[in-house]
Amino acid sequence: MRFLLRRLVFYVIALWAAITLNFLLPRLMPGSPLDGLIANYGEQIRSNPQLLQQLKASLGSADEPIWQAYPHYLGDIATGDFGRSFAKQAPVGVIIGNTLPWSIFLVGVGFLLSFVVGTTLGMLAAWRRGGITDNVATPVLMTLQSFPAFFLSLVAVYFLGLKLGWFPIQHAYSNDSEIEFSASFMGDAIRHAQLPVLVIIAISAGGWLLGMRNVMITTIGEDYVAFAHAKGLSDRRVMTQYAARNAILPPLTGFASFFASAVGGLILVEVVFSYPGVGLTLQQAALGHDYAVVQALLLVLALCVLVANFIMDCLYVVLDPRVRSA
Amino acid sequence: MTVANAPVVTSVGAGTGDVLVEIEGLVVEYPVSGGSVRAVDDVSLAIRRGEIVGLAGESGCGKSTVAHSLLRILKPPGEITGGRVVFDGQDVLALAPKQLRQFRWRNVSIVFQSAMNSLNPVMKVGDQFVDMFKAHGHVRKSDALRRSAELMELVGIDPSRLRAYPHELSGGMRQRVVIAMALALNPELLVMDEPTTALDVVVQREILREIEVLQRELGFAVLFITHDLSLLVEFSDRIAIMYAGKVVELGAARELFDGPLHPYTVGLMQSFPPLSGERLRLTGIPGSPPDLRDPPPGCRFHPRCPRAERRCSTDEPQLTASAHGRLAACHFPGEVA
Amino acid sequence: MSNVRRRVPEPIRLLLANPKSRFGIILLVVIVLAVIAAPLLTSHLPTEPDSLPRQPPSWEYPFGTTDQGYNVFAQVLYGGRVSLGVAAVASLIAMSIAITLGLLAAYSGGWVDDVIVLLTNIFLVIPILPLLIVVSSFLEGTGPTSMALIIGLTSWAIETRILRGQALSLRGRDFILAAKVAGESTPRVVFGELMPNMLSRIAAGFAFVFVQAVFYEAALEFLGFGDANQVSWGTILFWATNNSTLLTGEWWHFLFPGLAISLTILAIVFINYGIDELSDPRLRQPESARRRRWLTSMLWRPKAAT
Repeated sequence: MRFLLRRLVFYVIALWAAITLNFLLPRLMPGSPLDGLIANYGEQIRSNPQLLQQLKASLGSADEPIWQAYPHYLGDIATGDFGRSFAKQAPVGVIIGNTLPWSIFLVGVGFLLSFVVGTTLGMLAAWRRGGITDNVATPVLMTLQSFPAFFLSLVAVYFLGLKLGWFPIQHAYSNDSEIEFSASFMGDAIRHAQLPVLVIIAISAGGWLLGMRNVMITTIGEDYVAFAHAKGLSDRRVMTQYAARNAILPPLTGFASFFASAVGGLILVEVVFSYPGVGLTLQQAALGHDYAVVQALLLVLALCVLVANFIMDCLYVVLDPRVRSA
Repeated sequence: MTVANAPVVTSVGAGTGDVLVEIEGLVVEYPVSGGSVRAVDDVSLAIRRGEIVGLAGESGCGKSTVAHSLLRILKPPGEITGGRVVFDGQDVLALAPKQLRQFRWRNVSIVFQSAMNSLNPVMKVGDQFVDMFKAHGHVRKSDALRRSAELMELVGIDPSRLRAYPHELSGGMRQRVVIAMALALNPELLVMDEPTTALDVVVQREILREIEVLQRELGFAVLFITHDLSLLVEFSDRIAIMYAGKVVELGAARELFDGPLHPYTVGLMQSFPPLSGERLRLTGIPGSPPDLRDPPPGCRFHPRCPRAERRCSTDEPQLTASAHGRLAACHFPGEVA
Repeated sequence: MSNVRRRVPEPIRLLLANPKSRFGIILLVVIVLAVIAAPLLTSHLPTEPDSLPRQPPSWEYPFGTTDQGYNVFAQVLYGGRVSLGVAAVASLIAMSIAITLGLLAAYSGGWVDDVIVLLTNIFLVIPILPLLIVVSSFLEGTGPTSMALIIGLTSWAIETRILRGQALSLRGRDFILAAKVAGESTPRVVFGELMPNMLSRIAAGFAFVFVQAVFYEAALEFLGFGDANQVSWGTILFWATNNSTLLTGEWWHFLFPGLAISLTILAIVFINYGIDELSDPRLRQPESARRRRWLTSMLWRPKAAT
């Protein structure tokens, strides 16, 4: 339990660091982003003077010195006030509320499946060295991992979507569907998610496979595995309960850095598929200098990474009894 | 009396029980770059019911490999490429996988060197007992746990520790748990592979005492593998000495200790200082064990042997009965250098 | 110290012997050479729309042409110079930071170590691509130099942690103690004694960071945050998607630059794969003895000739 507490403290510190970084970044940039914004969106600013205030608060200006602006900023964050988006003319909070669920859906399904597929294949590949799994799955997935997410998405869209017409190639649901909790909508959403999820699996399963395989190979040499065999336990039981249960722990600890880069992959996949998640929104907002959205999304993404890590930490505590008494 | 090619009666000097395990001409090979290495080269050994046989030798002489071959738990890429292992009439090397799984633990069980690592770190001790029982028959979990509790008491551990994880127990306790597991199905042979090496001397003694008590109670045979010859002398009925993959001497423990025949055995004896009695000068054995990829011709020990003559580098001596009623693989057994 | 010097050529020989890393090295060398030799391989320039537009790959146009009439083969070759160049500079920056911080943390211990570890962990948790996007959106335009800079300044965390770990295990060794006792100053011990013994790990780290840099650079440009007038692999892909070449079926516009990126990454991944197998023999695939002997004989023959 103390382990979890320590991790939680770290995540709080990291969140604070992310917020502060967010605060400092526009102020550290050469030139003034504020001027660029005024130039681009002059009209909207003139018609809504409050916006200018908010912008100054989040981007920094000569009006407010840093030591006043910072607590002001922290206060805004605490109350959930992220400002307004220019492009969409809506509060940023609402935008996040509309897009985050789709991203979580994609990430949840996609990375969960790639974890399951990757670790299972890794376990099998290590158990039967030189067998079919090891000789086929390992090189194939390792090769796929080298293809950047956007390239693989393009290839998938072109060949599987356009040419072969097997999958829908953009958006999260058909243009004529209503968003509702009905079976037909769910089905539609799932169909639209197939190709992006497939791409996500293709790019990330390889990492899980290799990590699991290598640790498995070491674990198989451990005494308790030999002892389990000697006791006459079935092959499958030794492979899963004795070897894999232990081998999965080191790859899980690498989850932190994995998830941070996974978010990058998510953004690229969303852009290619025009999937209405936070990744696509971030790109559009950044290109359009819609700074309120950009800053808020960076924070949201950082927070998601931290939350995902904390969930993984909890999972780790459940799986490894040695950590509990540490 | 040397009968060069007749099968050697490797149970010479044993007690009166009948033969339980017969290992004949066992060969175990490991592939290496450019060929293969025979970790065990034509080893024959018989163990009788209820007998305690010690198997001693330096690291790398093949003693653990012999033990693992009995249960067929050799780690790849090692392979049994020759010989027979007959356990109570069953040809162990010919067992199908399912029969092999039943054979293991019911007939033979093993305790490893670092028993601390023999327990799965993420499973409770009790669950590991239950796993074992379930693998050998349909038992209810409650029955399995009850039997496990009895076993724990047998080795002197509070049965409530069944709910603990291995890392919550001390090294000595884990060793006892492993022994309890090894005896769970009442095997006829218990193999102990350097079971006390990783423990301190006091705990070593305790464990050995307990094994002795259990052995008298339950009547199983023991194959005790170690490099510590002094342990074997008190503990075993017979001792086999291995060198470079071969058995070089075999006989009743006390006799072997009082009058070793093979020069290697002599050297081993002289390497251990006695705790009591007069101070002896310690002499090691000069040189080092041979590279098994290219073993010396003739007798494998001859480069280090004080008795060696020309014949030793050309003629490999077979394990033959000497006048003393014991077996030694030497052209000049029992002679002082 | 002479041991370190003698060790350096040996790893390269071992890498060439392992089939996986050998494949990676050859592939990488081919790509780098092709990119350097661009003017020799094509007479077209990447910025001259001097070809017939929308041509599929043919003998005359090996990679086809774009909808604007640019030669894709020329673009990929010349673009590679920018892509690889930016990635190289970025990795240099990132590794310099990683080596400095990692070794400093391991050697100094105490609060210096704690601060560096905390900083590293924070950067490990912040998602890099979003950070790069945010920074790019604040800057008015990101040319190759700024891109190399921002990528270098954000991707040092993973290697810092790894190098710190390795340095920690070396730190307790006798030769470091001897240097300290002899009165060598901290920078000298760190860079003169510790670092030379970590060369293989540093090389592997450089390869890893390079792959990251290639990816992030291409990703940023693809998303539209690069300098659209520069020709690099990522910008070719940007134009490919922006001009809807997908819909018109001009697959060569995005396939070839994408393959260039992927093969570069693949080459280094395979080199690393080979390194893994070399350092842990258990991971090696069982090979037939005959094939191995043939391969090593192929390798040794040139040496025997000299």
